Amino acid sequence: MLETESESLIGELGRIWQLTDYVVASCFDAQGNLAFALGDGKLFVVPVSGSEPWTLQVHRGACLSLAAAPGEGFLSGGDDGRFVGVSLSAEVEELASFPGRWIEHVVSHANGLIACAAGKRLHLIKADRSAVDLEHPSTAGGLSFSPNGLQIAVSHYGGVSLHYTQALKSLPKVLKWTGSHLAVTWSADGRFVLTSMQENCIRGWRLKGAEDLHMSGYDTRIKSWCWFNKGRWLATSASDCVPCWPFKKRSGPMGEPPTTLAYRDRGEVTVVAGDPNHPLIAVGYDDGLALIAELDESGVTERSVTFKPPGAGAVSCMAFAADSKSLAVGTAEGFAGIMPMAADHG
Amino acid sequence: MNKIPVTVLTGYLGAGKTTLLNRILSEQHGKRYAVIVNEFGELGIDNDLVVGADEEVFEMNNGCICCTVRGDLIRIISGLMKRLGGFDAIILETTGLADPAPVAQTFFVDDEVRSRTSLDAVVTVTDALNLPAQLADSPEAAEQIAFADVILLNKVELVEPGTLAALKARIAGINPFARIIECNHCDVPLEQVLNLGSFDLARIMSIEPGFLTEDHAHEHDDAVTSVSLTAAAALDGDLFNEWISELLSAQGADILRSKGILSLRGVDQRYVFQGVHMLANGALTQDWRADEQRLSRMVLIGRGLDEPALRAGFLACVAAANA
Repeated sequence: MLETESESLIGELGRIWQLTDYVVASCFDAQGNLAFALGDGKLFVVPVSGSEPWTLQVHRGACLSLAAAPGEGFLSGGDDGRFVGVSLSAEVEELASFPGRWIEHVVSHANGLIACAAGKRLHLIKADRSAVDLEHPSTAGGLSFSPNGLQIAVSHYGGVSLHYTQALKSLPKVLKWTGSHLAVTWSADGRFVLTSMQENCIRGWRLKGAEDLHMSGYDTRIKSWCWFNKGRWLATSASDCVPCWPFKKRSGPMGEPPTTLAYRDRGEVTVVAGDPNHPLIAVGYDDGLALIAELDESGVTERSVTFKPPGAGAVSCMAFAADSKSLAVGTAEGFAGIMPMAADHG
Repeated sequence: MNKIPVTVLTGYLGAGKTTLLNRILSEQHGKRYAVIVNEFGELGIDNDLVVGADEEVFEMNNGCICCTVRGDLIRIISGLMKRLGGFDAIILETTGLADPAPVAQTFFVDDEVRSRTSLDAVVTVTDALNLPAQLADSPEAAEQIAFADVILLNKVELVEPGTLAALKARIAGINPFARIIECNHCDVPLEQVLNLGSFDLARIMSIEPGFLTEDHAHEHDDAVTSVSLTAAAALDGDLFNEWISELLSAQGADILRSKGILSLRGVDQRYVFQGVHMLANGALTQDWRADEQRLSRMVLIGRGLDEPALRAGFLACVAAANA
């Protein structure tokens, strides 16, 4: 399909910006404020109030990771080894510093816990500001709090370590599987832990019942994945379409094929972002095109709307606001935008 | 998109790697280097593109027993790619005892690394005074020489000329395709170390056979040796591929590196081939010139190589072609 800039829905209905570097990550906080983290170490913040966006130099070097701070504001990690908090009044607070390390993973939970990974170390800070460091056998490939915030998963070579956040001194439960585990996530019901692996596949563990999952067939490493529609589905990148795995049943996707969405003849899906409340996903491709696709849960039809035409490099990040009312998108060449979403679709 | 060249710097502790690295970073060359080091803080240079790495070697789950890669390298290259126009090249320093194979293999097996960067050369810094003792003591010293495209023979002022000549012959016996550069304080022109394209098939024009004709290789009983094979008649492409594939899958664990420039029957271009353990690639590159002899030449570097069997296998690709 051919589209020109004037036909770009995000340009017509939303707001777009040309930023100064690679857009590494985008994230909404719980209030709906939006931040883009950039390859030159800046944060670009779009307040939910509608007031002017602002830019702040947060890292010397690149921003590598971004998360919402509990309550409001943002957390960011950089290749300057710093883990920082950024408030909505543009104040930067250094939470931890690991000189010579890259802070590639930062995570938070609504209960006030925040954490970053520095090499093999998990650095967890509690709401009362006390901090705990936990070492792992190899570098953390990813971090993820369980939905209830009582555990944190750290993926690494050979498996995943699950720590109880209220009993950090005790030994972690280790889920083992040979290979290099990168990103890690929990299903919405907390029953499954999944990792994206170096070998272009997903490994999963059902925590009760000791049955493991293995999803393969991807073209490349799965660098982007997301839960959508209240955690009923997991959508994944790394193909020419978006395989969505069903997690509606207690057995998860065991024995079920994925439903595929948003196939394109050429191009690879680089980023997926899920609407937390509806069967909708935003899909970004390596040529810069981005669309929104609706999954008909009966599996019969598929509807999709392109909202950003190709250009400005590969789509590098996307995020939905918690209330589903806004969608953010960024690309490898500094394009950033926010798209209003109808609140009553579905 | 231009691929970013990656230079791998190996060598024993004390051989002069840090000296070389400091020179590369402090000289006025108008280029910005991202540097991946193990001993963070040893460098005297303030550079925001210096990153500390833990050498994390892991086995790929792909059924290939010797296919180990560097997980940290994959992560770091992915991170570096998030800076638009931030630097021109990457230099990766390995620890003194590191086996260079996982680094080289990472460039063969990881899609993202392969699409964004190219392995430029393995540069091994050696200490002319202490190298004989290191070769005697540990297999890593020979492996680092075996993997090198360039060998800096540093601190040559500390050894006698006769000893130096014998040492160079010994190095050439282990690795006949590496270029040996004598120096003190790593005072080499940087263009002899950087941006060489040693793994770029299109840029591999010749294999210089070092001291091969004189049989120095066996004098020291080094665990790692090389076998050089040549053929004046054209090879059959299919037979060669079959032979090399079987050879690498059966003996790839012991064959550290392989490299060849071949003349194939009915093909006007050179077929250039190179491998690291079991992983290999090959391509047709430049045409043979009308005035040059179409000599097929191949070098295998490894442990316990059976020279007569290798020679017979290689020559069988020729004989059948002319039958």
